Amino acid sequence: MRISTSQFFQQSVDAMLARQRELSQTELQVASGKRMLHPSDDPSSAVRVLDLKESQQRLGQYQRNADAAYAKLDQEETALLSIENLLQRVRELAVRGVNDTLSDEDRSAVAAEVREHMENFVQLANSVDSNGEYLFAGYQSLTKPLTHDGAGGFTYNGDTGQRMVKIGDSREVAMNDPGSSVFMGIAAAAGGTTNIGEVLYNLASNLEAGNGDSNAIADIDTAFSSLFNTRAKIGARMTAIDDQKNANESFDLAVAEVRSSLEDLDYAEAISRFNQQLTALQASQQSFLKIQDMSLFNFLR
Amino acid sequence: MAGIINIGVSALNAFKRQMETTGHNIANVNTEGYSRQVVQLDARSPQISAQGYIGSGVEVASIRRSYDSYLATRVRDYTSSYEEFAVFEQRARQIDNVLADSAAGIDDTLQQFFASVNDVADDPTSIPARSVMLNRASQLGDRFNALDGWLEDIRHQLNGDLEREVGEINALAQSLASVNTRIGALNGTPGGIPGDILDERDKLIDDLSKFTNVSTLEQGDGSMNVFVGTGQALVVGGNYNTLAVTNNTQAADHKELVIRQSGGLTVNVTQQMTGGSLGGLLRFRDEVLDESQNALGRVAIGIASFFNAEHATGMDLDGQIGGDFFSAASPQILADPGNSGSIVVGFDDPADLTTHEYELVYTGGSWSMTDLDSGASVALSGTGTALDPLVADGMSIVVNAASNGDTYRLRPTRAGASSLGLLVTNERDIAAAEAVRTQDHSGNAGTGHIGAGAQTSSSGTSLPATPITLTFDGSLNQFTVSTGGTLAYDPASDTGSTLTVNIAGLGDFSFTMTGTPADGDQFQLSSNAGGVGDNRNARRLADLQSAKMMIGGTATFANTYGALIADVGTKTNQAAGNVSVQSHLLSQAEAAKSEVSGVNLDEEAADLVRFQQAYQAAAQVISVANTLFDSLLSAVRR
Repeated sequence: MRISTSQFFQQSVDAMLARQRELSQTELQVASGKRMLHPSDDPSSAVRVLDLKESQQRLGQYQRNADAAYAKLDQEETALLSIENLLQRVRELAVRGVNDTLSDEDRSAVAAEVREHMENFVQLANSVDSNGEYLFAGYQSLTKPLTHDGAGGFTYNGDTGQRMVKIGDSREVAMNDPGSSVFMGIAAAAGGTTNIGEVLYNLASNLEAGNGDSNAIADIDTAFSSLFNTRAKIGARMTAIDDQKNANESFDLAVAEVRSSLEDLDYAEAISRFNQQLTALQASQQSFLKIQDMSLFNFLR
Repeated sequence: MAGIINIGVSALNAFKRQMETTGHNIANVNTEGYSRQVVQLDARSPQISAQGYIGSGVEVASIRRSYDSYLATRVRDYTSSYEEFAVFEQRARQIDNVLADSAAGIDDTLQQFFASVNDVADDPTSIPARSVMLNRASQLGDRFNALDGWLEDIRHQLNGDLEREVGEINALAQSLASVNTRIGALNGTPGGIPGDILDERDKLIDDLSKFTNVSTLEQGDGSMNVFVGTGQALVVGGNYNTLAVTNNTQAADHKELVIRQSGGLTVNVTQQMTGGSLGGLLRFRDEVLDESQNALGRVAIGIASFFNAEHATGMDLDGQIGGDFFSAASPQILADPGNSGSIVVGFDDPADLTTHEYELVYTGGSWSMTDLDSGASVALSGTGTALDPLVADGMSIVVNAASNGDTYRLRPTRAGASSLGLLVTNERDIAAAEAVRTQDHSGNAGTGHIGAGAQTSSSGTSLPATPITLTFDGSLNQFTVSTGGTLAYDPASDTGSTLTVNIAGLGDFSFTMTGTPADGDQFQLSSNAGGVGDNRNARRLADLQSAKMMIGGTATFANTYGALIADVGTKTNQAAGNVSVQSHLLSQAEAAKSEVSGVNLDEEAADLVRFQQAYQAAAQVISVANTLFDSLLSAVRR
């Protein structure tokens, strides 16, 4: 077989260029740490990586949602705990109030303290979070939820809305409780329904009129259990958020592993490939040098 | 004596010619397209004598080039295939590199946008969160615009390349025609046609094969007729046709190729120009560029349509129904200049959109549609009126006027990515809340309860603040709606079901109803104005990220974009594979050709030595003749 001289040069150069291309591809892989430099290197894996990236982003979003819900629930729980403590004190006062040995002056002093607690209660029921949103107003979060007309009329101005957030693919939690279910609609010992504000107001009024109020004690106990129920629900939600966060984290870890197996480089393999390709390039350069030196013309002198 | 000298001289001439040719070969060792030349020697005709025939030396029969037209044709065929795939791969790789790049592609921006929607859902009253959402939305639009602009640049560049390549092909055709004329003139002359001119001709054809498929037909006079693409005559003898780039009749940005024949006839050969870099460019445009731009537009239109539809069922911070959030262009209608009617095309269901282009034709009183990418005919439903538009592949077409022969080219999604923009400018206008608020009337006696309501279609006007009441009629098991109409509800069987009521001028509202209302019990629907802490619509907007709404309800927005990446990636990958196969085949074919036609310097060196020795021997013959002659003269002198 004849080999033309220019063809021989061209082939040698082509071979060296091919070695260099391979080497540069490996070098880029090593430098970036990525197995796939472009989607065309492995189209199906590239698209899977996109999906996995989105999963990770979504899991990250769930964690942020969970943190936001947790913070809000924490504030709500604190407010409810304060109200419980307040009611605890008021219950003691109510018990003292029914004691027949109490003088009228003492009763009015007790009544004054109850009134103080009532004002406090209204403030707590109108608690705002760090964003200035009312905690217990339902969706009407910029409307003051509880107003008192000064004569024992307590109005709930919010609605029954519960803001839900997604903390997992199929898991949502409520991040608030509307005041309507926490403070209002309490079954009254005297029949019908009442609300915490009204109970406190009536207690104070009765004490001022020199009367004990045994219904108040029963109503406060009912209010207690309503508050306690709500707090139990909040506690359960906070536990659920913790659980879900852990679940999300381990899911994220699993996704990250799959993603890494698809797009990350096996360094051991890549480095040995790099060395192999380097040797091949050097060999083709050296053999080219040796052969191109050989020419019959060198011997014709 | 004279015989010996003549023989010697003939040998000297012949060997000198051989050495000259060897020198010519050496001189052209680096000349592209050069075929090694060989001097063919013949023994001269012998002279008769009484003893028989006596040889009379040597003569140069011919100087021939070593050339195998079969091998040359193979090189051209592989050159065309190689160039086609190489150009295709190189162009496709440009797009491939950018689509998945986090700084230029869509997926990261899309994720960031939905993250910001989620943040609004977490805290719907927060103006900073809303402001971030608007920024992200506008970034998303910018990214789509930029990516589309970049594809448009590639198209612009490609159209310029088509012009340039056509110019080069025309220049080659002109040169070939003139070489053909020279060859025709030399044909039959005593020296024949020189190998160097044939090499020049074949080199021109080799060059042509880089641009397009080439086939040839050698004529009796040695000239070569050249055909390009699938057999379009480019050069016939000394005449040539010119290729030109023209605009598609309907779409000016879609360039087509025509051949102008010498008779003035113009033939469209776009489909026929296969192979070579020209074929690669055309195939890249049809298979990757158009497809990518349409696919990108489809994602943009999907985002805009579904997001707007959901946004319109919510309520903003000021108690207004959500307006359009994103803008996106309607399908492109490219009308034929000969049309006399007109149509309007909008979107029917974005889930049914494809990445293809269509041709819509009115003939014989009916419309027919063809998918220009697959060539398949597409079924049209509807009659084309405003109430019953023609519907196909996600488009709805309303015909204003039609006349026989009207032709339209439709590009449903082409302008989607370039037109995606943000329409909401005020943070308060993001409709994060549900538009409707439901309530049991406080005086109800039964156990009936109205659940959370939702607006399922909207006219853009919110419900009034004064509630619309649904009053239960226990005898008929139905609600009487205060704005008119009734709504059936049988407590025995319908409890827990979702009821939908249409309120004239406002839209459809749905809610769940449970329990058994007493006769006369009332339930209220009112505007959710003031429900600023409500995040229900924001959550639905955020959920669009993982909703499979695209491609017939099988893919999310990100999946739809992923399909584009996979498509371009696969095509690039395939082309790269073909390039390496074709380059291997091409270098084999070139080796085979150069085995016959190439110059090997060692071989030429050996030849040079051989011819030099022969020349020296022939000179020796003359020297011997001279000595003989001298001997004879000195004998005679005595």
